[in-house]
Order: sequence, then C-alpha cells, then structure tokens
Amino acid sequence: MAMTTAPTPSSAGQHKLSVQPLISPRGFTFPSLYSFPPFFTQQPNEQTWAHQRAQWITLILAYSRFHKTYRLELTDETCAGELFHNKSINRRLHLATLRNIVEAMVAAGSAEYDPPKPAKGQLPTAALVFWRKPEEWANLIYDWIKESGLTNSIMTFYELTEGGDLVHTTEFYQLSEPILRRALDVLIKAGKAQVFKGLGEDGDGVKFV
Amino acid sequence: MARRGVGYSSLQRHLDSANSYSTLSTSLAEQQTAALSQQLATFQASLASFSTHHRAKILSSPSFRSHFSQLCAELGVDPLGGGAKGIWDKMGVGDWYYALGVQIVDVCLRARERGGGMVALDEVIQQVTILRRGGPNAGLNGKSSTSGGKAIKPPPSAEISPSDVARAIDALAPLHCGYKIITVGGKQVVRCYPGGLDRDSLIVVEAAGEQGTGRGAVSMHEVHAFTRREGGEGWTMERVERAVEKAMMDDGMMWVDEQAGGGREYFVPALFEFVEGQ
Repeated sequence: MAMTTAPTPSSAGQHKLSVQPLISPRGFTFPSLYSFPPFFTQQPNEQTWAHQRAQWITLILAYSRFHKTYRLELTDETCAGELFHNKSINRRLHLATLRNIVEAMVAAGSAEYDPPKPAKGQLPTAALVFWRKPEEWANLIYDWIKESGLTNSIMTFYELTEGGDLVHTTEFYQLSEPILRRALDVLIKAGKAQVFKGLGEDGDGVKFV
Repeated sequence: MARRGVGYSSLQRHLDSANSYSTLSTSLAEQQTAALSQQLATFQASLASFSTHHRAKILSSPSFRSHFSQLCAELGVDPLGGGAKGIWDKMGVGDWYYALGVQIVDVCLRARERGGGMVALDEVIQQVTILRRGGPNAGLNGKSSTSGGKAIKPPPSAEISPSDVARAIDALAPLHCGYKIITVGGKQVVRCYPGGLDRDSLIVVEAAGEQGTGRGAVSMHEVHAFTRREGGEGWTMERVERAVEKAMMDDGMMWVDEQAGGGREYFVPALFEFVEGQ
C-alpha cells in the first residue's frame, strides 16, 4: 500500500534521527511510533511494554473510530492488515502480542470479547471495540430519540441504525448490532427502553420511554 | 626641633592623628558607599527601563535572549542567580524560565515511559513548543506561570533555543531532580534520571548514536565492535550482553526489534525525534 510520507529514520546532512507520522491512502494519520521498528515487537521491559501497549490501544481506538469499525477479528489476517503491518518498514505485530493488547483493552473496558466467553480451552476469536463506551452510545441514541419525538414509538433495530432518512445523519448510523444491544442494555437498566423479540424478518424492536 | 616626640604630649599627638585618620577613612568609605549605591540605583533604573522597552523582544526572540545573557555574563551578573531576587526576575524574565523549566519536566516525565531517563533535546524542544501552543494536555501543566505580578504569556510564535533549555534546567538545579544535558554519540540528550547512569549502559547508547553512522540502533556485535574502535581487546561478549540487558531491562532506555533482517537490534528512543502532526 502506498503511503504518502517516507518513514526513513533520516540522517540527511546534520546527523538527526527522526520518525515521522504516516498518512494512509484513506487519510488516517499514523503516529510516528508506527514507523519506529521495535514498536512491532512486544517489549520485555515491563514499564516500556505498559507504555507501548497504551500507545497501541490509543492507535487501535483512533483507527477504528476513523474507519467506523466496531470489531477486531483476532486472526493472522488482521495482523497482516494495514493497522498492524507497516509495509514500508516491513514490520508487523504478532497475533500473540495483539492478544495481549486486546486483553488489556477488555480489562480497561474499551473492548469486549465476542462472544464474551470463549468455548472451553479456546482462545477468544474476536472483540468488539468500544471507541465509544456503550454508555456513551446509549446517551447519543436516547438524546436523538427525545429530540426527534420518537419516544413511545416502536422501532426495529434496522430502522434505528440503517433505515430511513432520519438516521443517516446520526453518529450511530450503521452501528454494529452487538454494540447497539450493549447500548440498549444500558437504557433498559435505566428504565428508558424496552426490547421486543421480533417476528419473522423484521428482527427485534425497541420502544423508548 | 625634636624629630620624635617623647613623653606624654607626644603620645597624645599620636592618638589625635590616628583619630583623625580613622574619621577620614570612615567618611571616605561613606562617600564611596553613597556613590556606589547611587550607581547601583542608576543601573537598576536603566535595567528597569531596558526591561520595559525590550521585555517583549526578550521573551519572544531566542537570539535576543542569548545576546542579553551574554551581556550579563560579561558584566559578571548572573541573570537568574539569587533565587527569587535575580535581575531577570525584576524584569519578569525569570518567571519565563521557571515556566519553561516546569514544561520541560512535564515533557520529560511523559517521555520517560518511552525512553527511560533520556530524551533527545530536539524532542524536548518540539514537545515544549507544542505544549506552549496549547497542544495536547496543555491545560494540565502547560500554563505559563502567573505568580508574582503580571502573568507572562509568550506569544504563540515564541521560539525556544537549546540554550534556553540549558538555562531553564540550570534554574531547576536547586530542586535536585537530576536534570542535565549530556552529549551522547554527537547528539544532545536531556538526562532526567535521578542517580547517575551506569557507564556501560551509556557506552551502549553511544554505540547506537555513533556519529555519522548511527542509526539509533545497534546489534550486540556492533556494540562489541564499538568497544574495540580504538584498538585493543574491547569488551567480552558477556560484558556486551550484560550492558545491553541492563540498559533495556533496568534503565528502560532501549527497545528490542526482533524483526530486523540481520538479527536482534536494540533501539534507543532517546536518540530520535518523534515528530507528530498537529
């Protein structure tokens, strides 16, 4: 993939080492650390690793937000993708390292395994990425429902995130269903929503109160 | 006429003259003191008027600042000396340096997680500049000092020079936080590490930053070669390994890259400037 900035730790003229941010073809700006080769090796020093891990988490959340993705498959294919593979310096993150990072995200509440509990003896296969916490999604949805005067009417999940002209402009347009469910759980607990089992092709519905 | 008086009257005469001498010297000293304090008052007044006329320029232009501090040095005046009573404080420039000092500490603490106790001077200047422009987390510690009279807000364009950083770090010395600018492999690095660095660790870092050829990274073999550069035996491989291990595991100054073509390489973040887009 063509990147717009050369990541060479340059040493032109005056001896000066620097690493630069990279801009992806889709316009996402990778931090300079992404061009620092050892960023892709899990550091053995515990403190350095804590810092490195935190930087990866920030990057994963920013990248997911920018591309509006909500899910991370924990596979080798993911590690070969742009986010975890900097082709211009030929470095990629190992799946085992990615798993360690995601584990920290789950512990911090910025991700959740999907399914939440992997089968016995199995490693988690994917994670939902909360670049907004479910509580934040819940507030966004509920505020919009109130402003649009849609309380007390029943909407299907599809209508809420995909359908109609109304929803197109919202931030939760095309929100993934597992995250929508987590957000609605928050509203249900607060007594602000009820979910109905759907019939046939309509899928589940929700009523906001 | 007797050349030398003998007896009581002579003794009396002697005492009289001694008395008048001491009176004279006292009055002379008084005059000198008066003259001196007058000169000092004039000097202070000139400095004060200088400061009102040029303060903005001193605060915003690094070259002007450095000329001014040279001037002070020639006069034998330490601009920041004497703690809160320094001349630069009278001019409102002392605050400027203390604020810069706080920002440097802020930046170094944040960079410490990444590079152990060392940060490239370029990187410090870059980060402080971002901080002063109201960059990320500026609200936290980035405020310019507001203590004592007028708050000093440098204009957004204010540049920071390496000698400003050096002077601000000198101003921090009484706090004993171990900040110091050192030269490693031809690069200036701010050391913010209480307690000294192990000499072997420092040599490993030198090897990574070796002038002209340094990539900011080394392999064990390169460290070994570096220790033999002036002929002689150099270190044993055991010593090389121990030094690298210590620099990485104890000091947190190195990152290992296991995907380098020719075997493991050890990177020193303190030798790099991490440029971030704004």
